Amino acid sequence: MGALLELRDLVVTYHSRGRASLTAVAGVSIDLQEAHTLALIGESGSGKSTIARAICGLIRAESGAITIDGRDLLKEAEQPEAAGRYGIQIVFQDPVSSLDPRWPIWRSVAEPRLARFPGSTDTHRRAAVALLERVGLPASFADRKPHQLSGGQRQRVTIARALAAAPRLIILDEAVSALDVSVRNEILALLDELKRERQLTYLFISHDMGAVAQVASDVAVLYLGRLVEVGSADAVIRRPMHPYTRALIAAVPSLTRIGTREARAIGEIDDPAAPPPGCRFHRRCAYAADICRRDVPVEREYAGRVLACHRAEDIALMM
Amino acid sequence: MTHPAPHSPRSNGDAVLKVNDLAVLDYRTGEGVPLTGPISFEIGTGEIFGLVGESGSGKSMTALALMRLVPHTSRVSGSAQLKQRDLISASETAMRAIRGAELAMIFQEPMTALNPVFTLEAQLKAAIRAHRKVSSREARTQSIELLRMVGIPDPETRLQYYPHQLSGGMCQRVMIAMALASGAKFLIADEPTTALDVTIQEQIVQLIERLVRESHLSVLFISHDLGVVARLCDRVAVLYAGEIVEMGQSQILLRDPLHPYTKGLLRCAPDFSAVGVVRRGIPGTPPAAGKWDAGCRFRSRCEFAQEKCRAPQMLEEFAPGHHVRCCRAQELRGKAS
Repeated sequence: MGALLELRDLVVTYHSRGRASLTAVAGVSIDLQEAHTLALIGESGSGKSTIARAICGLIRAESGAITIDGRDLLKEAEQPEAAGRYGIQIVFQDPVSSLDPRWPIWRSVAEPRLARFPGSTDTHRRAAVALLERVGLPASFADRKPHQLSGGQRQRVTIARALAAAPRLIILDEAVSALDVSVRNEILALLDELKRERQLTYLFISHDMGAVAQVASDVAVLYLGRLVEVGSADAVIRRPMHPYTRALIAAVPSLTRIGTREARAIGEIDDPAAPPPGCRFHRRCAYAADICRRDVPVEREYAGRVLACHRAEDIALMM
Repeated sequence: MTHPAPHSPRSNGDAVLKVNDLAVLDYRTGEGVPLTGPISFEIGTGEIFGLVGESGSGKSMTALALMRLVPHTSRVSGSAQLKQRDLISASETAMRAIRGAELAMIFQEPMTALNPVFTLEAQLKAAIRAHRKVSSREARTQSIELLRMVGIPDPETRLQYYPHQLSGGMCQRVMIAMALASGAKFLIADEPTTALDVTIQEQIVQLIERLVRESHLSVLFISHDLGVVARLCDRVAVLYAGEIVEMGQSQILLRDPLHPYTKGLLRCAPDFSAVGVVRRGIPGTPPAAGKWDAGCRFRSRCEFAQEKCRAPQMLEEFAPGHHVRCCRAQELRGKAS
């Protein structure tokens, strides 16, 4: 299976009056393989959510291409509608603000179908109830209002709504981040089932490395709007090569390493409005050399992954 | 029933805080609905004690009860002795003197806890002068010292900053500085790293460790994240539906969990040795406050529940310093859930 969605040299810039413009995504190229889960990781300010929004047309990209079925979404007149037509759906972190508080649950779930498929109210309602049951909610929830549901139940509803549009790609933008761990894993298991059952492709955006390690088939690491490492989940999580990826993974307190002190403080992310020259990570990098301060590292194949690091060979020797 | 703080690497076993049957009841509807408790634990001098639980487990309510900051519609029962002084029965005037001077608290969202319209200097000086009569100049000197202590570079310049000019991690450092401004030796940290990136979380964790070591601080560290608790805390109590279901030294409790709920939480924790394996969560949702079972409160979600679990469960000492509230703990020992 090939790529379902291709991002090419994607640039997204936020402009605001009276302030310097901020390039949140500074030339990102990546393929989303069909039926894979690509996880996008990085700290706040890395540009992960901006990429999600740019794909859906919720933010206008400055330049580049977002291609699905050979068509560039950025060339479509109404990008948000076009994204929906090509089978792209998004689930956000906060299910409370994603659901209309006045509508019964079934109505929210039916919404994407109402817009696109003809049929009686009864047909749509029945389809919505079937989807609610599929995501593990009882049919009796159809007439409830969002406030009567728990956070995990509400997130199941937004997943059911995404499924109603018969999607091919679901963008999960921190979709499990607000949930308690015990509930979070139940939702991850549901997403995993749905993916197999419906041949879905996921773009899984999360700062939660524990969740990423469970669901991702591929991982892309973003730093200040640029990719620093892309590869299989196994390679990137278990054998990270880029100093940033290594710091990010080492910072996660893991129960399999109780009592060990691998993590090292690496300072704070630079201001995205004024990214440093050369390698954007160099100010926080223990391995930074003159070349890192001067030249932007190009993405290249290295050790079975794509890496943007001048010093990959030297660092590998030190490991 | 109290559970004395055992000796731990950082503590000599003298309890600085003794919490006994602490409970919070909500009276909004007329009759008292339990929001948390009753819970009992002790924290040793110089110890970092973790309180772990999910939303609604009562961990934040317990912290607010200790600070006597619960909503006015609720009532606190039980006792909490901070160095022989009961926080629960203390007068409001006495509490005002205790808060800041002996007991301080930091919260999850440092951005919203700081006042956006005042500089750090104004806020730090106010915190210092709330308890001590010092000149403005002396307060400024102390403010700089505090910012330096929490690792803020170039503190003289930063004093003139407003909160929005700082990152989340820097704001949390300032919050810690303000909390300790009046010399409090007991810190309640309620999810202090939850809103921060993991890289920044590690820096705050290291700061707390250093303050405990250098300033002889004792800490009640509240979190939903077992990983960070394992990383930082000497001992940990796991809270479920308002009661402690398991308590012990964190290294032992997390390696050899006894309660099915703790086992379930551990199963969900980050594990990078098994990439691509989706692990089951815990089916169902925790019962809402006031709808707690008279027997084991975890019973409805527990795969090991039996008839005998309908009876009230006691928190019993299973091994020295390791307590569990589960009548099946012995037979389920070592069995993965």
